[in-house]
Amino acid sequence: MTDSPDNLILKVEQLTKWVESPEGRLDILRDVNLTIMAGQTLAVLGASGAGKSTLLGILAGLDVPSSGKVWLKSHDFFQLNEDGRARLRGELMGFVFQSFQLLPSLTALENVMLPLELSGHRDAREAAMATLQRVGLQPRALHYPRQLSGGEQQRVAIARAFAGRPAILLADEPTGNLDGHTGERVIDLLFELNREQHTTLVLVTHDLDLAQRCQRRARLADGSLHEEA
Amino acid sequence: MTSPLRMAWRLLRREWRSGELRVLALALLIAVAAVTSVSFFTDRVERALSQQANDLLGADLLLSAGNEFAPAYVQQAAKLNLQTSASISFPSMVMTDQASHLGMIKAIDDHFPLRGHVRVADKLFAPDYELDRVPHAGEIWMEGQIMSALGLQVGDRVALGMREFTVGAVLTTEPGVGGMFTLAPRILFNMSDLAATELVQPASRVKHYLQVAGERSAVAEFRAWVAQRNDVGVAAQGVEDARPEMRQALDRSRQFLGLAALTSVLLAGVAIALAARRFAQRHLDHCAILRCLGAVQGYVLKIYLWQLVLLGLIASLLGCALGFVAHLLLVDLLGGLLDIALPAASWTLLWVAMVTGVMTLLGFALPPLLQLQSVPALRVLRRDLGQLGAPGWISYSLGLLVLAGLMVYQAGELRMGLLLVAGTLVALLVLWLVAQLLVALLGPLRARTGGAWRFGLVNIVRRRQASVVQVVAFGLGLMALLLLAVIRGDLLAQWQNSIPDGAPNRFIINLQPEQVPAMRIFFAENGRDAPLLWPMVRGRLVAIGDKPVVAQSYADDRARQLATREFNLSWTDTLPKANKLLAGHWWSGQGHEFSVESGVAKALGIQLGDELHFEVAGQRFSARVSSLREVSWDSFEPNFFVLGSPGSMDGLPATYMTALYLGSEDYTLLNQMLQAFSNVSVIDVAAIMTHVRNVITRVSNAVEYVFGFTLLAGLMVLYAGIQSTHDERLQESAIVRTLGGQKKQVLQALLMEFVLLGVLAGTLAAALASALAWGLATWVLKIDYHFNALVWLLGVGGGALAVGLAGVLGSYQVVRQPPLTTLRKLSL
Repeated sequence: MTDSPDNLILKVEQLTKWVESPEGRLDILRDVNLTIMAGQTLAVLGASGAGKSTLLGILAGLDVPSSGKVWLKSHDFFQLNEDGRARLRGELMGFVFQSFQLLPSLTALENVMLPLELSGHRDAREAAMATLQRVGLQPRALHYPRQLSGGEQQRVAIARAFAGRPAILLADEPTGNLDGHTGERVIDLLFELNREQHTTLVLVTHDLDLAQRCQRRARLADGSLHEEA
Repeated sequence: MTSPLRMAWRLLRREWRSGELRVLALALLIAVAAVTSVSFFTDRVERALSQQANDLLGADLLLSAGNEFAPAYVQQAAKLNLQTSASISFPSMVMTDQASHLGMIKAIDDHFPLRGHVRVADKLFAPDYELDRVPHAGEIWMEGQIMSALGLQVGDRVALGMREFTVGAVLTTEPGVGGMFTLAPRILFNMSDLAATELVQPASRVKHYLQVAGERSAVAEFRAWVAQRNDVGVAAQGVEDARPEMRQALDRSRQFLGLAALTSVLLAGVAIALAARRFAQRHLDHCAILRCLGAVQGYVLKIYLWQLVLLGLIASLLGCALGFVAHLLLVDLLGGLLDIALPAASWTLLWVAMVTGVMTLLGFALPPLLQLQSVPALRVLRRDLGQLGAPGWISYSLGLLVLAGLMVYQAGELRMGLLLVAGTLVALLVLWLVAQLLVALLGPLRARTGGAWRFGLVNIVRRRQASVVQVVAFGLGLMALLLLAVIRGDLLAQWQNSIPDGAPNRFIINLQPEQVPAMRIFFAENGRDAPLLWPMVRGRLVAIGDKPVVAQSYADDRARQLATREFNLSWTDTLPKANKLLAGHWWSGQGHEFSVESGVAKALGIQLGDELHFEVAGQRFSARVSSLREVSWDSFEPNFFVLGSPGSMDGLPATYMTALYLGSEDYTLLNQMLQAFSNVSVIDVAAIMTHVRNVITRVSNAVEYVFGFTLLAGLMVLYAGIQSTHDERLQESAIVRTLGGQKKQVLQALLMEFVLLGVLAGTLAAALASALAWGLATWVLKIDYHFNALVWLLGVGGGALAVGLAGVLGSYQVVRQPPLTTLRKLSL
């Protein structure tokens, strides 16, 4: 994987995020700088409340920084309005959340189809079924989330995230609601698919073992991001 | 990107499968079904009543004139596919070898009557029956009293002018009576015999009638054509014009049925608002995920808007179908009870119902759904973001405007519609404010109660806004139900009491002044109190002030008719009991004065202080208008458009009249009176009164069943209100059980919470229903309102019982499932 500008997926320059609190200004992120190339896997570590999810939210364009820039491929992310960021997100990003975030009124198959349908994919059903098969849940395609275990729900979420073959996948504590064994299986699947699709992976976690599986590791502490060797 | 409509359709199908939208759809379906069935039913009932009432005219439109109608009238009617029937009426003597008697003769053609039926009996005092033919040539049908007076039986021979007839039947009911009074007993014979009688000469005073019947729109068009022709002396009457008492009854029934329909729409709006808010609450995460996956804000909004429109169309269509079936079933069930033939349903009502459904859905479901477009995508990481805001009045202004428009449209009368709108808004505002106050007052009670009561109180106070919403919703639903019970009960009581059993059923007229003492003696000798004898002078209004009364100068049909007709004038020293002064004062004792009925005054432009000039048998007399009166025409007492002060008509030719009740056992008395006073005419209003009672009874029956649909809509409000906080209660109860609470405790707390909510709502509902009923009764329906304690008992007790039971039953699921299952389900 080369570091040429063409392979640059995500670049963060002097990113700052602060909020007002009863005690005054609260700095969540201070001058965060980060460069991620295509195909790389990065784990963002930090204690609970360090600002990991805030950073992830800004990288996803779900939240706006107080200052700084984020480049997603060649796009100055925050020069776009909210709708523009949403469109770009739909084209380039996939997500896996700690709480799975499946729509309870849709079946597993329909949940996986959703991003494909939104983007106007012609063969959304077939593509979604293929992805579900890849994660080993084709027999459960017509089941609702409430009928699935936690691990199964997260595998559906992973299938949804990868169904559209995103350039970058953001995962927020993907094993946070799972037991150890289930979490292992889910992470294995996540990394397998990541390798198969050459997706860039940004993984927010407090799990050191999980972080070790990523090529790069960065730690967020006191609002600053420091990459570990 | 997939089009929002296609995406919305896909999501709608999926959401429907999961049951998310069923409450919303059901609320709308029931609302549209209620409105549709009510609209179909009321429309058909109103048209049927209109046709039944037309029986008294024997037609849909009755034209009368002093001269023969020009051929153009029949030609125009034929052009509009209208049926016509011509008749001629005039007073004349009927003679036997021994005696003679004045009768009101009517020569009828073969088409008579166009509406209703003639009823005859085979002999005096025998049961009557409908006869679908007119008298044959040489045959005559006579009312029983003239037959008694002349000592006739069926089969006897009588002479009418130069022609002899055989009495073919006793005439008991004749549709097409041209006015409340007829001068003499009625006699019918075939038009083909008229020439032979030689009774109608060029100078004869006869009345020509042309009855017209057909499609409503064609009749209206014909009437407009007649008005445009503006021929002198031609008067047109629809049933509303000619029958003040029937007009009142029909207006009241239309208003009340419209009120019931409006209540259904109102309750549907409340139920939809509650269900839509719950739907929006449960789709906050959906919206955030969609935004996260790439959907832009406008796209998300369009998806939900299209879902709403599609759901509205489907639910409205199903609601229309259900409403149509429900109304058919209703008609089938009621066929015998109502004893009324309803015209075919009007399919144009379907469009009205569809528009009503979609507009109601949009008006009340949009406010919470519009908030979904503002749900930030960041909610996928922070679930505290994007909560639904509390609904404000402004956000529901569209819904309220839609409802107001529907109210005015459904009411069919701007004034009643606006009064209902105003009353509803005031009710909502008062409910809201008082509910806030009551919930706040519950706070301090927490410390003074224990056990399940305390849990119930805590839950109400803690979820203050939700509690206020539910009190308002339940209160509104209960208020509407109580309002119907109050108004229904009072209207029915008023209607049924308006014609008391002992109301006069005979009017005696043409009593000469010198016969008055003898009449009083006659009653005394027969052990009866002498009825009040009214003097009567027939005169034409010729001028108001210095302005001659010219019929053509009035645009209004009724005014023109009043301008050409003779008034029955009378005088009295006291205000009659069925009359109420509206303006001016009773006799001042200074000069001659008139008191004029307010409707006539308005029609003819008569005001207080005007000098009215009447002409009686070539003599003129005048007096100043010193008062205007309101007359209760449905009292069936003698009433007069114009009353004079004592002495104002001295020296004018007058007769006396009276009204009294004669039961079937009094026919002998009647015959004795006729033999003693052979010049008087006795007018039988029993048939008219029977018909009016019939109409009122039928309307009452219709009202009973319309009430059923409103009740159903009210139950939807209850259900939607309970569902709106169902998830929250489920979660709380599951946590309580997890922490050691028992099923019984959880259920008791739920019961207490809902009972308390029901008590609050019921109290509010009873107060507002009583207030609104008073307003409607006093200002719109013009009936006396009486305080009804049962409303309070039903409101408070019924509210506590209904809401308590419904709440527990609706939330029973929480104690059936293991707590973990509930919590797991709710966390998805």
